[in-house]
Amino acid sequence: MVVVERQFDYPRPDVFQAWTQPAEMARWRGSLGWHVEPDTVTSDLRLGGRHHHVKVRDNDPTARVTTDAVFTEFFDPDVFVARQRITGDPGIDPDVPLELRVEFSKTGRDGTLLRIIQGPFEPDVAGQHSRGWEQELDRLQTYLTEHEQRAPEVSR
Amino acid sequence: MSTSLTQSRTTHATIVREKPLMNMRQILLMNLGFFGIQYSFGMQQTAVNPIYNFLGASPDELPLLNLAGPITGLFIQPLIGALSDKTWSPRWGRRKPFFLIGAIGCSICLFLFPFVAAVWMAALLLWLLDASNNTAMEPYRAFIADRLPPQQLAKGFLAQSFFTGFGITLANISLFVFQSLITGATSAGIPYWVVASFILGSVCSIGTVLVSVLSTPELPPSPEELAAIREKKGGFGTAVREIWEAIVEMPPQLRKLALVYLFQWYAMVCYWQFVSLSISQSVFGTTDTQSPAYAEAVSWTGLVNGWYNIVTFLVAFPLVAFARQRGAKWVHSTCLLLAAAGLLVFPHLTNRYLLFIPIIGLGIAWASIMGVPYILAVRLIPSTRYGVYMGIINMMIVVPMLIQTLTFGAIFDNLLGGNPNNAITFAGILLAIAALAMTWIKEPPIVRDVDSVMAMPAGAH
Repeated sequence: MVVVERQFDYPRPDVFQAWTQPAEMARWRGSLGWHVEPDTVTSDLRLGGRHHHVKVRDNDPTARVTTDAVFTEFFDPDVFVARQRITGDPGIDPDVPLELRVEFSKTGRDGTLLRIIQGPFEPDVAGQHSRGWEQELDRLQTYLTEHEQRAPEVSR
Repeated sequence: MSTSLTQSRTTHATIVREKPLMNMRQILLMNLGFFGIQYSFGMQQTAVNPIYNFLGASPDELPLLNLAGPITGLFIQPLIGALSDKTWSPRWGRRKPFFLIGAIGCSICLFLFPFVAAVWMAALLLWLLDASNNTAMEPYRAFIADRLPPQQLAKGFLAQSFFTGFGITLANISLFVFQSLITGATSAGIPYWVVASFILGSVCSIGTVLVSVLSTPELPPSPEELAAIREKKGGFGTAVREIWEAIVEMPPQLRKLALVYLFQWYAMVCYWQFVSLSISQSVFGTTDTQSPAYAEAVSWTGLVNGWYNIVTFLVAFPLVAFARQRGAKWVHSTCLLLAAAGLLVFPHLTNRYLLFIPIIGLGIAWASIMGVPYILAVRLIPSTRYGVYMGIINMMIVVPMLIQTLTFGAIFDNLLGGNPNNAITFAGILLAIAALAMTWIKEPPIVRDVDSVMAMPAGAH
């Protein structure tokens, strides 16, 4: 299992929304050299709801990784769990389902401790996905910072 | 297995850990050392006071002579936790150096204990033994959280409950069996059956910890995380500062757990202190501690306590399934209520055999107390601070014990009429309040065991 943690200085609802709202998650998901095609993201945000998105390599649009999932737990803004089937990733067998669990715990005055648990993976594949999550969370940090800077302008 | 850390533009870092799933045999081997440590605690709880008595200490000196437990627990566990968070040795690991040193200390102290010739020597050894027990036990909690993925934490912590019940039961059984098999005494007046029990404890303590150390590798940090650990290393002063920072930044739900612990541990100490007097009064009809009936009550108390520890290790693993289905919060609250109900009935029974029925509730609660709150706690704290927070949780245990030591004398005399049966009822009421306080905690939604997750259908194309 891969366990990834990072603290964000943003409230849990903000971080949860960035993870789950299709328009927001499409802006930061994907590791270095990859992006999510915004048009492919669909998400029925409830227990038993389905999720779908496609990641595409920036310099090769034919390289596509598709994620289909069902939410087996969905508690805004505490946690969601998705049972995933990933196709197109050479390291992942599409016939072996994965579980992605993302927890959002309040920490400090108004921060969020984000904990991602994903697996099971073969050991070599786990390393690759660990590095991918590190990069994605850097992008999430950037997204949240930019989102915060834009927010006051919107309110004006 | 690897761990890596990346520093972002802000102050926060990404911590990545790859945790292989462990099978039941691996989880039990990893926790076997906890059995040795709890055996050592069992000897400390059961056999140290008789040694003080054999050496001629007076009963009113016993509370002071037993102060080692809460005091060492209060200071040593958080310090060891904070230090172990900042430790890494390629050969010995992060937590293992501490529980190995602790186990060696336990082993030496237990070996020497029956050969003491004066009360001051026994008191000194008890401080050293308790310091060693605490040094060994604290990182063991963090070790479980380090090694197991969230889906297996319940199994890991309740394996510790299992070994708690098992270790304390075997410590008591060894005292009971050796007493009937071994005769004679040392020149200081300590019976050889006590000596034999301590030596068995000495062997168990180091032997079981060695099995765990040798069978379970720790997850190594990446070079980046190692560099961060080395950078922050600062010894005693830094550790104290980290304990303080962790208390200030403690998640709100963990603060609520402190309230649960206040009632729960105050109640447990009341029970341990007054159960033999209560049984003596309700079943044997005397409160005269010099009478043969009281001696019989003490002996029967040993059996009652032995039984609830047997219940503890019998129910530890079934509680995993309940925690998985219902969540740690409701399981712990229910277990505390069962104990409360049992203790409310307990002092009204006059048949000695019936005592074994209500005390089942306490055995179930004891299994929960030793494992279930940790399942909840580790989900609220960053993995880089497991050690220091496990130490702070131990402070939540020993502070109520110290408060009980300071306050219960007056409560017993003025509120409870000096009646030991009322002390047990009081403990029952406090456990019920703890159960209520537990419902105030907002637990993150349940983490299911990985086995049940993998049995479910996946998202379709």
